[in-house]
Amino acid sequence: MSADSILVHDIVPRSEIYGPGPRWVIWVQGCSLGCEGCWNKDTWAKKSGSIVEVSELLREIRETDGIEGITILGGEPLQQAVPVLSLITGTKSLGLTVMLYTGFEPSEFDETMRDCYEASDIAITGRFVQAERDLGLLWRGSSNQVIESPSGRYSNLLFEEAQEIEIHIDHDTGAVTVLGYPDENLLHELEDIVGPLRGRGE
Amino acid sequence: MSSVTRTARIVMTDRECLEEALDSSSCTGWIRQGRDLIVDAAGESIRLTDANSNRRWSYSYHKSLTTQMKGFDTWFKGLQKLYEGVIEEKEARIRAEEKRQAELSKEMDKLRGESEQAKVQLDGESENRLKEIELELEKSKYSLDEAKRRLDSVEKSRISYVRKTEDEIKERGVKGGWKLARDVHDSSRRVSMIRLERRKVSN
Repeated sequence: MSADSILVHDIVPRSEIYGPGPRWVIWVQGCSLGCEGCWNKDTWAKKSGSIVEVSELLREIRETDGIEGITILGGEPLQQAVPVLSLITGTKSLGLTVMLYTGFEPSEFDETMRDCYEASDIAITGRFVQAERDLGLLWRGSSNQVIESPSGRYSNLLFEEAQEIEIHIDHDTGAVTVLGYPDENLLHELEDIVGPLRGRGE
Repeated sequence: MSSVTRTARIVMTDRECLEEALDSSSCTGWIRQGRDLIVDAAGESIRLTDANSNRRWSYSYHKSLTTQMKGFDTWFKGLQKLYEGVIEEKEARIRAEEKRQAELSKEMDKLRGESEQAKVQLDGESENRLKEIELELEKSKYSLDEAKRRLDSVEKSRISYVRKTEDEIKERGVKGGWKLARDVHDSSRRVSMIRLERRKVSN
């Protein structure tokens, strides 16, 4: 894979539960951190997903109306730090903000990872720790994970903790996408209504 | 991190298209039984139902599938692709008929135009061709109307599914202690977005 491409697990062009305002959201594919109880185990493998050029992703972002920024999740975005940095800087040059999720602690960053972090407007750092799992947290899965604003853009952001789920229903196909931090009961109810959900982090 | 999960890419909501997909599938047989369909495939005899009466055709799915049921599940995913193909074939048929009608109309106009310009009656050959075109146009119109009627029916079943699904998700979410925080239709993307939230509930 080239330094200009990202191995992508999924993209949702517009969501309102991954950071401030409406955001274009990307899950990168590939993670070797192996957090116990991870929500997204099917984003671990480096042999699946789609390779997409950063320029193509930036084109999609530019063409998405009414978004405040983008959010990058995974997988582990900083294990593809070089192209992710291009995505971050390219997005910022469009006047949009960037929210970055990483399972790494800042003390573990190499130089490029640090550049990604520092260029981000919001960063959620730290492993998902099963023992500290808390579904009531905003934007995080476990209470050890930290919200920061490395660029300072959102340093005065006020938020209230909440568990959030977003459900998208495509009118042209009937396909349903479930985002966020659902609990087992809700997933069970949703599967009863819409059928099996692929990519459940069991 | 947080999860992103998706259902099948296309939901089977139209019974006639489903039956066409079954006919072209590798199932060893299928029959109608009341409102349901009994399908023999991948070594299983399975009842397909209009799940929850919300127009989504499926079978009783269990997460802990036996090896044999996994075979059926794989077959069922193939059926969903065939269903998608049936819809695409109908859309292609409409495009082809519209193109054919345009070509026939153009040829008819040309024949009539030539006759008018020359201020003569069409010769026998042209007269026959004109009659053929009129007949073909009539058949094509019927075929196009039929294909459009079928696609309209598919569209109606899908809209009905989307509406019922939205209502049911909201109803069950609220019953489960969630607050309906947002309920919007994004007309540019043709997507409904429902946001449920709960304030600070620790697990």
